[in-house]
Amino acid sequence: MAVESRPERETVPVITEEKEVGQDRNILAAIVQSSQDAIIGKDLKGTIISWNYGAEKTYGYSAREALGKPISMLVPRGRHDEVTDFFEKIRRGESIDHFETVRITKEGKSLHVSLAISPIRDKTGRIIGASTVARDVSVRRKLDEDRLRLAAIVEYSEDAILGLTLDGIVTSWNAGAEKMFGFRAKDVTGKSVRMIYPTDRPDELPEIISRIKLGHRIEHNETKRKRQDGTIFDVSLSISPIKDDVGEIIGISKIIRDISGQKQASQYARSLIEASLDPLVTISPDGKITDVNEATVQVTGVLREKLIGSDFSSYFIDPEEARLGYEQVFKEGSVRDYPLAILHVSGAITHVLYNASVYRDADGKVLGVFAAARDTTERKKAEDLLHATSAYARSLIEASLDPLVTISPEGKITDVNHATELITGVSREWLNGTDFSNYFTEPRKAREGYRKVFKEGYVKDYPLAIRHSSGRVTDVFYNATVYRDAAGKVRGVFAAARDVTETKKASQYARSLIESSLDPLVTISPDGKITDVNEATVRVTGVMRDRLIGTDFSNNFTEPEKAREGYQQVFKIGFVKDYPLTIRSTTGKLTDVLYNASVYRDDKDNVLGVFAAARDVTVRKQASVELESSNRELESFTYSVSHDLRAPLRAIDSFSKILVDEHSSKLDAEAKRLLGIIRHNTGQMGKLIDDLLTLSRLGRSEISTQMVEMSDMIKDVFRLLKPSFPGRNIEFVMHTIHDARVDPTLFRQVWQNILSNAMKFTGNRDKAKIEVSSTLDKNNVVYSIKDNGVGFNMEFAHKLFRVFERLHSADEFEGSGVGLAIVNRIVTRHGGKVWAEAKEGEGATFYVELPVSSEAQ
Amino acid sequence: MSKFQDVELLLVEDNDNDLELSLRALKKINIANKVHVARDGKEALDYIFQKDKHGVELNRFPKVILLDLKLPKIDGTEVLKRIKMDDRTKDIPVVILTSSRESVDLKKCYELGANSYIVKPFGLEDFVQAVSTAGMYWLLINQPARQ
Repeated sequence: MAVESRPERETVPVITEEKEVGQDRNILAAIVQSSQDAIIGKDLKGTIISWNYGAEKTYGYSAREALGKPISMLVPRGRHDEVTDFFEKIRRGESIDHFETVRITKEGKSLHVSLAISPIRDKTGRIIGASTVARDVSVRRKLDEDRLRLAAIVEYSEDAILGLTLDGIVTSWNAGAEKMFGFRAKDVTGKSVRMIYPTDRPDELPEIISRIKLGHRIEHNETKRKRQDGTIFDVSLSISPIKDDVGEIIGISKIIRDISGQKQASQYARSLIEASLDPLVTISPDGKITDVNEATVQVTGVLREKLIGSDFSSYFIDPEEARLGYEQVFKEGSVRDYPLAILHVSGAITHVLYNASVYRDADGKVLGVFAAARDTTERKKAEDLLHATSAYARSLIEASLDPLVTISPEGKITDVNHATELITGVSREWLNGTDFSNYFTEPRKAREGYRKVFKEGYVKDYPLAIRHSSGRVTDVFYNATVYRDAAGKVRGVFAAARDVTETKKASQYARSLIESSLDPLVTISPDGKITDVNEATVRVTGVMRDRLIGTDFSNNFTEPEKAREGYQQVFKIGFVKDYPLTIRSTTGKLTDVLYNASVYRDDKDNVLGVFAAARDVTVRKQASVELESSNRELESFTYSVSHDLRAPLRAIDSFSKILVDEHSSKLDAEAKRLLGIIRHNTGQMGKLIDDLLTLSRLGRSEISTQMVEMSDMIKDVFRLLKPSFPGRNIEFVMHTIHDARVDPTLFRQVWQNILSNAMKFTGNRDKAKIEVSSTLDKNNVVYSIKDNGVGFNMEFAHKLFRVFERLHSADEFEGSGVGLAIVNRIVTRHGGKVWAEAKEGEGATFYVELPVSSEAQ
Repeated sequence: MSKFQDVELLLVEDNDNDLELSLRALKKINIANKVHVARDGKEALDYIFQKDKHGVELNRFPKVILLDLKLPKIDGTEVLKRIKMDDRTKDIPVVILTSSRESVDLKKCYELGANSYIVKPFGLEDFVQAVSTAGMYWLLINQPARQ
């Protein structure tokens, strides 16, 4: 196909030469143009310089489009080296023949081409370009590929694939055939295929050949063939005619599949079915039995021939239930543990559980139901706890406070213990054999419960409510498991109920307590999320309950970080006490709270979360703020009093003293007397101010108590007071004085005031008598101070311990009117009380009572 | 008023009467002429941290300061604090002389570094006795940190 354009090789006269050349060119051009092959000229740079009609047809580019363009536009990526090689060969004067490669058309399609390339020379023989003839070989290649693919399929097929002439002579014999029959291809090719036919089937081959000659195909024909070793085996045949291009039948193709394995499998299955102890049946969509096994024959007492074709449902105690059963299978595809009772012709009843499913043909069409029954009669007997358990175990079961029950797969009670009788109010004779679900407020839920056990093997804490025959309801949690026989087969359900009525009541009670709490209560998960809240929390935050739960606890506070630290502390050390936080409600209202919180745990001591109770201390805090501010006011008042009232008083007293001391010569007796009155009064006022300051300090100062030997303190106080009452005849008697736990500094003032009062108010007695004694009982110690002074009218006893209240005129008895108020304040701060008994003119007795608890501490 | 060089005791007192009584007491121990009187807290601090006419600090300090607490302008506790916070003056003994027997005052003054706390007695004799004893003690008996 190489077209060489070397017409001007010889040396000829120019004119002649041109003429000849022109002729040759015309001829050449015609050949080129009419060629179906693409003929392309290009220079040594690869630029296309000629492009024929064939090239247009092959590559899709018109001559105008192609001329002047680089030849590389036809070359697919990755094949450009090819072109470089071609040009190198061309430059050396070599040609390329039958080079099969791929080129790209204008449309971008890959094209298999065969190339022939030759150099183009000028008159002097110098190579100036190349001509290429390309032939499209795509179609040929595709045919080649198909053939190869087919050959591979045939070669690697497990099936035997044979080619035969119409005379039955083997023309091809694949590897599958070699393997299947044992004959090698070379041994059988050209020979009759009869060798693989069993000798007892002499008519088969002629029959097949005659059918094929008529143009028939034979598919899935099951028959037998013979191996080289003489063994006969089951095969399935597919045979078709081989036709030539014009439809003439020229041969036979046979595909032979070995089905001996399949056949064995189904025989094996059948024997298993027959051997099964479970009654097995297949049922047609109209409810007729289509097949049965031996066990079915046994359980019904009906012959196999009579069973097949009869109504499936007619062999059960409840035919309607049986019908519903297989209808359910057709509807839903399967049923599990469907309880039925088969009636034997003799009247014997066999309780069975049916497992059934539909079966389909290869196209998925439902052909019928396959149903397997499991005899539970024997099992039912074994299930009885009385038989199944030892006397010891039985006694344990009976002794259990928890109602225990066994349930058959049909949901019937098979055994109970005494607790079950008590909780249902039904005796065991009546309970056994009845529906388990009958004894619950929600029978459906009870049914779901034991079905769940059969399905999943157990349930835990399944809540149900048992109804007693009297109507009383008991809340229980069921824990139940399936129990099995020795072979591991599920026999029934063992269910134990735990009475949770009290727990439930308690938890409802607790819940109502929680809800009614005025304190905001929350539970917090370890990651700080709120898991539960009460109504008070909803109120204080202004957030709905369901919007609180699951959110961050710390979100609801003015200081989230502090809140976080708070509950983290609880998780760390187990609790917090009086942890101050401020809750911010959605409306912006702030509530000061103190949190008390602790972790709570499950019964295995795992920490589940934090329980936190907040106490609203807004009011308390306000009160304490107010108290604090009023305390501050009082302090600044007493400060002023001590400073500003005492200073001028001191000046009056001091300067009048200076007057008396240093200027007495200038003063007459009357002036001195008047100065004396001034000084006496300033002294009184100074005392009053000091007492008032003492009283005010009493309310504020801390008291610190210790055991005090009271008799010593009293004696000492009396000793120090005595010089203030010069010239007095006072009999001081001390009886038994119990010790007490008091603040010594403060309590000394109690004795000072009471004893000085006693001495003062006995001032007009010739012989004053003061007696101190004490009594002790288990609660209190009581000190009594009795004098024989002027006493007072009990009518005014209630005024005795008030500030500035005086029962006697200042003229009669001096005093600030603060002393007993101080006594009262001090004793009260010790947790005790003071009172007095008196009769006007007959003396008074003052009592100071202190609690023993404080004395004993 | 004493010359600067002679001053050994600074008396800070706003109450005329108490001032007179105090000076009477100091006269008894013959140091009345070595006393400088400041009538409020500011005056007291100006005197302690006084400068010459060129603004140069003189660093001449009294040997003891008798300080009332309730003072105009700058309170006595503030005066005490500034004296005791300053390295130059912190060693000067400060005797609080006040009518207040309030524990808060006592506590605060001692915390700030007061060397003594005297509640002004009510009676003349007691008052004179207290002030003169204090003056005697701190000026004559006590050994100061710096001469």
